[in-house]
Amino acid sequence: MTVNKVWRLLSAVMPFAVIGGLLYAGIFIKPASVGASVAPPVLAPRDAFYGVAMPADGVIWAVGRGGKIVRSDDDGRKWLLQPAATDANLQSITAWDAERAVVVGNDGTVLQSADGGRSWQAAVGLPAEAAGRKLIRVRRSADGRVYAVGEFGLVLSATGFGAAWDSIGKREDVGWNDLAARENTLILAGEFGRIRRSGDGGRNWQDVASPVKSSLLGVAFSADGRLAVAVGLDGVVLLSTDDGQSWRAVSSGTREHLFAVTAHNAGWAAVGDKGLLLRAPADAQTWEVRRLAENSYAWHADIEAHADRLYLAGATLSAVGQDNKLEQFK
Amino acid sequence: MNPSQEHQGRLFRFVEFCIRRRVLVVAVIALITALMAVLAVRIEIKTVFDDLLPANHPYIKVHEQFKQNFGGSNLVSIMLEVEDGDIFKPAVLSKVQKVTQDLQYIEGVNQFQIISLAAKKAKEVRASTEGIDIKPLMWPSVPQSAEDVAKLKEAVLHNPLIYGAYVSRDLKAALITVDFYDKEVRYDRIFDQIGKIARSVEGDGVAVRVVGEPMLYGWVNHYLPETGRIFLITIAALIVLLFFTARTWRGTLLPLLAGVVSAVWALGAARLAGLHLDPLVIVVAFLISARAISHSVQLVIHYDDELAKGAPDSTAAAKAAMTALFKPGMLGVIADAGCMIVVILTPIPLLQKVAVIGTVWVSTIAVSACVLTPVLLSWIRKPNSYAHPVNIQPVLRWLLQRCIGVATTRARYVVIALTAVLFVASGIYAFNLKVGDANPGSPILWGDSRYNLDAAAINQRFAGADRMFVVVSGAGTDSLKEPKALATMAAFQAFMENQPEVGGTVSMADLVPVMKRILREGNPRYEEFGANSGENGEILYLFTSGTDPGDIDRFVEPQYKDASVTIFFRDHKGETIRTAVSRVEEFAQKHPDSPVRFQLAGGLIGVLAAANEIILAKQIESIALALLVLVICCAVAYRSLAAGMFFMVPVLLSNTLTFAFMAWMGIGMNVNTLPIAALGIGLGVDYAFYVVDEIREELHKGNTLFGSIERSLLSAGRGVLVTAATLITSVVIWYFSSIRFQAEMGMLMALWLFISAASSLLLMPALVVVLKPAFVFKRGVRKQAETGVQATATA
Repeated sequence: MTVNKVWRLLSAVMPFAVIGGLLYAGIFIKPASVGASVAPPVLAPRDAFYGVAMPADGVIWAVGRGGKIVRSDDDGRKWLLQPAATDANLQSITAWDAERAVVVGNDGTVLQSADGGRSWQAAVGLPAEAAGRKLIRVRRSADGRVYAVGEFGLVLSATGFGAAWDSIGKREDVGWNDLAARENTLILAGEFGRIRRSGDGGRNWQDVASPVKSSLLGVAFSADGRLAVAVGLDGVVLLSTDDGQSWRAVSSGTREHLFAVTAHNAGWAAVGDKGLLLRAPADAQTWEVRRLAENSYAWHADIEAHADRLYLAGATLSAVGQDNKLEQFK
Repeated sequence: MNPSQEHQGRLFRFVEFCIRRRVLVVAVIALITALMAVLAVRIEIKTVFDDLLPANHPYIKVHEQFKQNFGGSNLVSIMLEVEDGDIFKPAVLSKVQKVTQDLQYIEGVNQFQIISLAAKKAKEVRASTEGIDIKPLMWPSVPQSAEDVAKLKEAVLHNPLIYGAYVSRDLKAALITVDFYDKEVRYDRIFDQIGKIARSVEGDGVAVRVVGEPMLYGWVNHYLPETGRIFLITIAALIVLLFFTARTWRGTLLPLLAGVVSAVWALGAARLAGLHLDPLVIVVAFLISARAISHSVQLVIHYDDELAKGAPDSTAAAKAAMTALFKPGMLGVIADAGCMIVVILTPIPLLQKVAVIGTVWVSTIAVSACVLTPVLLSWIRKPNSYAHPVNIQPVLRWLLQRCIGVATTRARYVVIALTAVLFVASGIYAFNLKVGDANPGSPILWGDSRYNLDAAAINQRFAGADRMFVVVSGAGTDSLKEPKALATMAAFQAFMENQPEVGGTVSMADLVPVMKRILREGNPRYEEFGANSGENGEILYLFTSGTDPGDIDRFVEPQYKDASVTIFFRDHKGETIRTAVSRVEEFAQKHPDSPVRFQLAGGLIGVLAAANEIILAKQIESIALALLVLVICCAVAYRSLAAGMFFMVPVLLSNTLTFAFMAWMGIGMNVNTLPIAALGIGLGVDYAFYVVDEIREELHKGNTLFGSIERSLLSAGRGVLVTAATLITSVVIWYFSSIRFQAEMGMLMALWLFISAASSLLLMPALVVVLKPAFVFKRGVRKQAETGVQATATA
């Protein structure tokens, strides 16, 4: 009969338990809203990239706004975010191989990595002039030397893949936007159309007469070094056939700003504002202007050639093939 | 005299009084009905947006404080889309201008918040020799020459506040947004006037699409005549079906009269209290009318049975029916009213108003059905004739015999086991129920409705039509000019944009870098904040000096202490909103040393977030308290706590099945569905009261258990079967409504009626036999019945 007793006890207690439970639930249970978590994408719509490097087949390294460094090892299919430990805008990257690279940016930022970007270190022993200044471009030469240019006449150089830094520029109120280096010849391109050249690795500099007064944003040597091309605001393209000692303007076919130029496949390519891509044959005399994609008006600040493709950094991160087909990385 | 007998005595005197003074009773009811009818016809049917806002929620306070400048919840977006080429053609641009100008004359419009390519405040910023030149993009006139159009196109492409926001990225569409003063919003007028403007520019290869809350509620209003027609068709179907099954005019007209009287009283009372009716709540009206009808049908059937059993005349039969059914009827009414009034605890005005109207409405059934029907029945002259020859009684009888068979054989265990399985399974599945909207687009309208198609098209071309603003506050005046504050805002925007449903964000942190780039020769490497507060101040000063006062107000307050980050959403699903809100908090937590504070939230999404949070927090409370009300009602009525437990069974089942069904159909719990769900929950038990009470009455008269069940199912059970079948058939008509919400609620109603009928015809009798609850059995009879049952069960 114990079963019966338990049953009776249970049926006597249960109503009170239920009422108590309901009261408790009614008064005390207040579910809080829980949102889903979002995995941040490596490449976001708000990103802007200022520099891109292709040190090896399939390896794309790009840097940009807010201290962002991204890398892909499979030609842009998968991307990884790398820890930069800064939120300064990063303006440019150069890499010797898949392991060693230097990045420069705002506030005198110079970062170096020797392990493929798994870790980045701030460069030590930077010249005092660089402190707080905006560095705009970093370029390397094959022998392990590296050059950086920026605001207020800043020109830095380092040997040993960025081990020891020196200032090789003059203190002045004019910024340099790009530098082209080939053996001991260096060409600086900057504000107000200014061009400066050194034939001895930066010990001595000569100002070169420029055909324009508007700012130049990019300068590059051809693969064989016989030609140099500079590009700038308002569609300016300058050409030098004598190692940068004299320059003349070439018609680009556009009035839009051009921000970067590179030699490519025995020819030339340049990018700029409003989704423009310019190409020229080896002599750089005639430029063909095309839009990267219909109704694409994104700006691009850097261009890097690798194998048959051009890699662009800007409001989008993308690649263009020989057939002009655009691949925008996501 | 024990309490029960005393109670019976009082009830008997009351019934006696009502029937004896029937002329007086009917006259009083008629008089009140006439008075209420005068009031009821003047009740307003409209949507008031403020009603959706839980006023004390912190989000709403932020919304109210800042909506004037940062954007309210009544934003309407109009998209002009070209079929070929792009919008940069004088003809198309003129249309954009026309819409922008015409919008100024709409009632209640906030003229400072009409924004488009053609608005005066859409500015072009250019570097010039003197410094910086700011002028309207396309105001006051539209460019005509190809050259000027090309210039405009270039200016648009350069302007991040226009390009992507007011001109689509592919240049094939232009957007015009307009906001309204909340207090002056009249949805029907806005809908008509904007519709007229939209039609005036449609054609010549331009398609016009319009979304926004005013348009949504405008569409609901637009379908109001259709809703009325469906209501009338449903009533007509009801009359036909009742007439068909009952075969008498009394069985048809009295239930209908009960519904009408209830409705008139409730609407009149609502008008007296100064309340209005939301068009979407019409479903609640029908739901309550359905219960009035159910109660009345029970009375008519009981009356018929009394006559069949040999009641001497109509008066005696009416008295007997009223006496027998008064208790279960009142219990049903009070329990329903209790479930409904609990909704008042949810601090959203719309829900509170519905709760009040609903409670009054349900309560009126106590008079309109429980009193009026039997009193009128007492007048019936020739109670034994039928109005038409078709007799479906044999079919009903056959069905009811099957139900009796279930309760009186071992099949009852199968029913109970199946119910348990169903309960557990639906209970588990019910956890998928979402608070807020479950699907993109508006759940109120069908997926292929014009409105939802327009919304999808706009969300595809632009960043998203639904907005939320988050207020970013610095420590003091000018504190938002600090680069760190601006950088935090920009980082916050980037963080929020990672959510896939977020199409984009905009804030003053977007203005500064663009201005700086322009100042630096258009070089994107200078698209960044100024180095210090002073430089940012100068940049912002340049921007504001070139514009009209107030142009920057939609981004920041004049003291640069409070600014908005506006987030554009591609949908307003509950999940999307919850994720966004929790991400705002996540960002704040990840940046403990942030120089700015983030305050949630304004705009439509902010308001919905608040409403959803309230509904979620109050959901458990509402259900628990509604159940508690039910338990107390039953416990008091039968003087037994066990009775409360017993009647919880069908209610819980109805609950879990409802929520599971809603989850399965993708119907979210929101301000519109909550009151209906609350009311529907109570519906699960109505029929059970009649069936169980009659079993109890029979047992108390000395009938055997199985005999009692048989009698109860054949009488009360017949009423259940008739009303359930009739009502389910009628509500199916709702499925053809142009308003998806009404169609879905129609299906929900059908589901409730079915569960209620099935549980009272199959489950409750089985439970009575198996559990033998003491309150059903007469003292001392239980033992006897028990042995009788065991004999059958073990045989």
